[in-house]
Amino acid sequence: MSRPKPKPKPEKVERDEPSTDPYEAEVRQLEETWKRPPGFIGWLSEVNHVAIGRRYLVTAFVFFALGGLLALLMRIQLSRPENDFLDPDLYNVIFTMHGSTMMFLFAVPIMEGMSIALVPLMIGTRNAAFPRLNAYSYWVYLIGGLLVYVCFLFNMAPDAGWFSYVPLSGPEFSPGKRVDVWAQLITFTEISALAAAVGTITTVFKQRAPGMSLNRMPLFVWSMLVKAFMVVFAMPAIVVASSLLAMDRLIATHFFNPSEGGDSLLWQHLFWFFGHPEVYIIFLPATGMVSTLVTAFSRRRTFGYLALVLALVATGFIGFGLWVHHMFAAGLPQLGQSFFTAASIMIAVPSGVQIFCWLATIWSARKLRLATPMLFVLGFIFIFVLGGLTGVMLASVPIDLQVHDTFFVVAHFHYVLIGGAVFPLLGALYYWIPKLTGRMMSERVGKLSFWVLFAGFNLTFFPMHQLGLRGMPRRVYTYKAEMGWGDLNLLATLGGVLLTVGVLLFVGNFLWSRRRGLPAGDNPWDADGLEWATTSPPPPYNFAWLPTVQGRHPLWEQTPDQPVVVGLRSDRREVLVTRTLDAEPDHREVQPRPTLVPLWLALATAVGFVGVIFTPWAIPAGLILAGAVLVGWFWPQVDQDETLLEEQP
Amino acid sequence: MRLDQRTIIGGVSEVFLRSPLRALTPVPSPVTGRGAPPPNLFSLLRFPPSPGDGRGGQGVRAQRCGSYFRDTLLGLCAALLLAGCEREERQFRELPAATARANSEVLSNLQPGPRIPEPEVKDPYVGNAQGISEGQRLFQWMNCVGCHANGGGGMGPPLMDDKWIYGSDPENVFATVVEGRPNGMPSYRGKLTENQVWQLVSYVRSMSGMASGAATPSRADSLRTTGPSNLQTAKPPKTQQAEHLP
Amino acid sequence: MKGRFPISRLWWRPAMNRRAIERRSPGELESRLGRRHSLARAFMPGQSAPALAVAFGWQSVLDSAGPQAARIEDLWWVYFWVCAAVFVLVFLALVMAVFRGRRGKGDPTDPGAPHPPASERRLTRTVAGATAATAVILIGLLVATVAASRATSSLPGDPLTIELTGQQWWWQVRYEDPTPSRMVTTANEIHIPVGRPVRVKTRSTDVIHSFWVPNLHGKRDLIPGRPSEILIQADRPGVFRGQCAEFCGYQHANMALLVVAEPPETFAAWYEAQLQPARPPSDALQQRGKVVFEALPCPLCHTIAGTQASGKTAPDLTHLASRRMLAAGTLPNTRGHLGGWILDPQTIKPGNKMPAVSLGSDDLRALLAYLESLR
Repeated sequence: MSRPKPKPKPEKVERDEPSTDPYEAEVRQLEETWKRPPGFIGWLSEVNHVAIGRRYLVTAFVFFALGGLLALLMRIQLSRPENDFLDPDLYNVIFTMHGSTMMFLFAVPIMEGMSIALVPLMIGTRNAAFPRLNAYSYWVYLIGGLLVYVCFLFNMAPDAGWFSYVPLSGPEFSPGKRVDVWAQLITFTEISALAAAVGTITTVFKQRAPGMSLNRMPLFVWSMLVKAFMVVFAMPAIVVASSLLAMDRLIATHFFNPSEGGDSLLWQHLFWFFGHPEVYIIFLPATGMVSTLVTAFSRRRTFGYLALVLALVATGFIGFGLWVHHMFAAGLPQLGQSFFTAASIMIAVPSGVQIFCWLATIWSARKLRLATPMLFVLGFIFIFVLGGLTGVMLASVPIDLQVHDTFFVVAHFHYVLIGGAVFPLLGALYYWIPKLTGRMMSERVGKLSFWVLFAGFNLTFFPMHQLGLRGMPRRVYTYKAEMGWGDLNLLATLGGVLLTVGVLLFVGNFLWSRRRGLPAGDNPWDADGLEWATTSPPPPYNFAWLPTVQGRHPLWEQTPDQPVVVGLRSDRREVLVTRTLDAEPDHREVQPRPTLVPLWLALATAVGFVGVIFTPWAIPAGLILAGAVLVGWFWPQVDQDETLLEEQP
Repeated sequence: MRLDQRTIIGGVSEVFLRSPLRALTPVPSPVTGRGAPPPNLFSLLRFPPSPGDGRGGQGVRAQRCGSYFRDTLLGLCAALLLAGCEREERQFRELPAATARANSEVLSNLQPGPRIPEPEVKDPYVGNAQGISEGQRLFQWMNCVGCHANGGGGMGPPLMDDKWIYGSDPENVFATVVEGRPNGMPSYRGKLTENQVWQLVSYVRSMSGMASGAATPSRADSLRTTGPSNLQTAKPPKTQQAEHLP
Repeated sequence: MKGRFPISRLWWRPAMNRRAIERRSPGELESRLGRRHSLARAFMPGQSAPALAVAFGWQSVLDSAGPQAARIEDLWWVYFWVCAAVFVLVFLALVMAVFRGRRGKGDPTDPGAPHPPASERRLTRTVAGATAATAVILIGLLVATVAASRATSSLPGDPLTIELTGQQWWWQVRYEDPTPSRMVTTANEIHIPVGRPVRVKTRSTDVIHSFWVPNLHGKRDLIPGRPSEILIQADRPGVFRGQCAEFCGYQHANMALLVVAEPPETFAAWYEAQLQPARPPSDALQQRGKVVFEALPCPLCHTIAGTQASGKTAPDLTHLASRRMLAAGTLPNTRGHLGGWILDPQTIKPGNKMPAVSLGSDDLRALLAYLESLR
């Protein structure tokens, strides 16, 4: 930390000018323009990306806690043979809710939250593109999550698994409204993810700071870009699947009814065509976080930037070619299986490249700092390599036929999802929370929480490998004492308790830091990204003057006379739009002011999608309401009219 | 300790209905000494002020409005809760043996002493999704389709129209299944347990839209010629009293 | 099997060594098993010691009893050791990288400065080499996989054909034969001759189930509307447990089956016995039991060949007493368990399709006597 802190440009200007200077006036004007309206209504009409991202993070973390609680209930039920803590009905509800919560309400949204909160800061712009769409995506996500948990209280929570295989989830074998609730939860999540992804892609392509050409973009931003593209291509498959399922269940269509020419395997193809890329949608952002953290704490330029970017893109492509390895047991033709085996094995290569590049960066560090975020990264490498290797095992058809749908698979995907995504995520939170809240989290508690989580995680999930090899299938609510699975299950349950303690330590540390944490300053880690060039927490306009960029590590490579962008009007919400490839300034764009319209549109969407669980008429009702709100959404704003006038020759 | 759906629901409704409201009761602020918390969305849900609160007139009326609003809201929640629970309840255990009476053979209505009131027989599966679904399965398993097809009728009368020769109430249908009827309907007394008959009854009634559409599955995974069962409009029976009774 | 190290056995296997068990006498075993292994003890009558012993590695992927499972087990150990080696190497690299990184090199106050090209080139070469090695290892594993896939998908010899139908939550087993009168129907227990391939045609009438007997082969889904088949074979006699491996509803956990591999002669004898209709009641109590059975709702779902009971929606009871387990591997087939199952199936297997029937104790005793006589 001996390097002098790079100062944000505006301060320098401030020093040169007297106190009643135009700079202060401009900042006051910016604040006036970008602040959100006061009060509760103002809170509801928020369109600022940091605020929305923060809401995403908090909401997703609450769902993470709920999902974890459900997991703990399951672990208690399985802690000894023939336990009667939960009956099969409730157990099925709980494991379905656990899976759906973790996948749809935690993992994907929290990555969206990180993307919405951080990407505009990292690429040096005032706000994300399509701010109202961002707000809409959050409200839709929140309503979807509330829907399913309210239904949980009403005994209406889904019970057919997070994968909802037909015919079990079809009208004949899942009576009532439980699976319909699940299908609508999926619909809400899809819409929210698509809206967020469109915003991310546009922000990344069009709003980068001048000089940040594609080949200088931070790896975190690259990972979010690839993730957003994967969302755009994967989500339509599940949109189709969940709509067909809802139609089968509600208006008696026969898409999945084999006796009327439908096909029960069609569901699995559609579901996994989304479901496998989903894993990478969760994992790729985590790799972006790891790249960032490794670079920052090794205090050197990222080793193998190009290789890392290519690995991201390759993973994004190959990720769409693996879905059949979830269906090896369905008895598909052998040649096809070999193809998917090859693809599943091949995806280990880009992951390997990433691991090697990170190891090389650490290896050649100028001075490696083992702060809490870096510990999580090292834990990630340990766990993820194990999970990746069991993934290679599962890609092999014969081995998969034996351990598919056993606890071996449970162990595998918890290794890649908790190890591969949650550990980097927690590290990233330790790293970026000072930026978002302005206060440091405790290092001592942070390190403790890491070790507790690391031990608890391995204690919980490592025995599951062996349980699977000894024949314990997944999704069973009980097992016989004679099977000899009791001891390992008890061990896993104890690990689960430890894991809970670790998460509580993290939450406690966060809450403590909100009040007592040391002030973070602008750049507590002396890191390289543009997000550290502004105050913590950032002002609503992010940067008083937009920065320019000279390399892949802007703050490390800035020159003393680094120029800033001037000329954006401060009396309205203007952002700078740059060209896609080279980020040359192109034009100014006026963004909408805070508005309640996204909330109304989300409510209209909810009327349609929640109502359709009970009557098909809800769809036209929702469409009419949404149409009415959209008229308001697209109503021309005065600011934009002015722009048009101004740009007349 | 055994934790089942019911206790969870019970626990939650308790939390729902009591504690947050208590928590929102005005507490005198140590600083201002005033009782009223700042107005917010939840202030509508506050309990009416206690006598001697020092407020009157307008305030009391507003409070009363609030309490009506609160009661309605809570009532709505409770109704939803009950409806949801009833529909989604999975009843695995059978009914207690005490009600297993209608299925038993009655040789004569004559009995010594004063007349014992008939135990009230009620369909336990009204509006219960699981029961209707089980009925749908039994309808196939017991080969009801053989005569009634999937409701459209064949050798036996159709079940999805508005004609009910022997009555459309659950008890009537129950009697039809248990007793059998002339012209081919066999008696299932002793061949099905009472619960199974009730499940069949709720399914049969759902075929003509006489069960809640929210609890009825749209179709079974088999060949069908009929429309979605859950979207049937209710067809009130034309002939409540049987004219063709022998 | 070749290529296995004893240390891996110690760790991955159940505590008791199979061969050690086989050497023991049944009586000693029983006392050793104690109360906990009541399920295994259920096999005691009429079981030879080796068959019982299998109960210990049972349902383990790593205790193969057939050629395919053995092939997969070999492949597993190849994968295991390769992956273990890779993991150790990566872990060592990580530890060394952290130590080197801690020591540091260059001026940490200027993190943006480029690294010396020579050391970067060295690193690049190392990373490229590691990537190439990864690719080579993966291609090797791919070849091993494809070879094992081919080897496990066919078996030489004339197969016995069985139609296996999964239902919520039990298995119907039908032995096919060109002569219709020689077809055998049973439930939840598959007898197969040792050393002969068995073609299992997989069917489902309701939701997706998955047929999986880990000691013999990997799993195959039973998908409604998509008939499929899988070959299995046992190389040694024994009782192998299998369990439904695709989530199928409330009782997914209690949907097991047993595969009983017997020498061909024993199998033939069993088959002939299964072909017979049910034994007529041999005393008054059993006679009364038969009457009770027929008066109860039972015959509408269950079949007892040779009586009026001919329901097809529940397990065939013609030779119920010859089976080892009740309710799809949930309970040992003893009189007490059978009685409990008839009186209160919904407590034992909540959600299953068998209704409770109310029954007086005399009737129950008679019914049990009759059912127990159906050997």
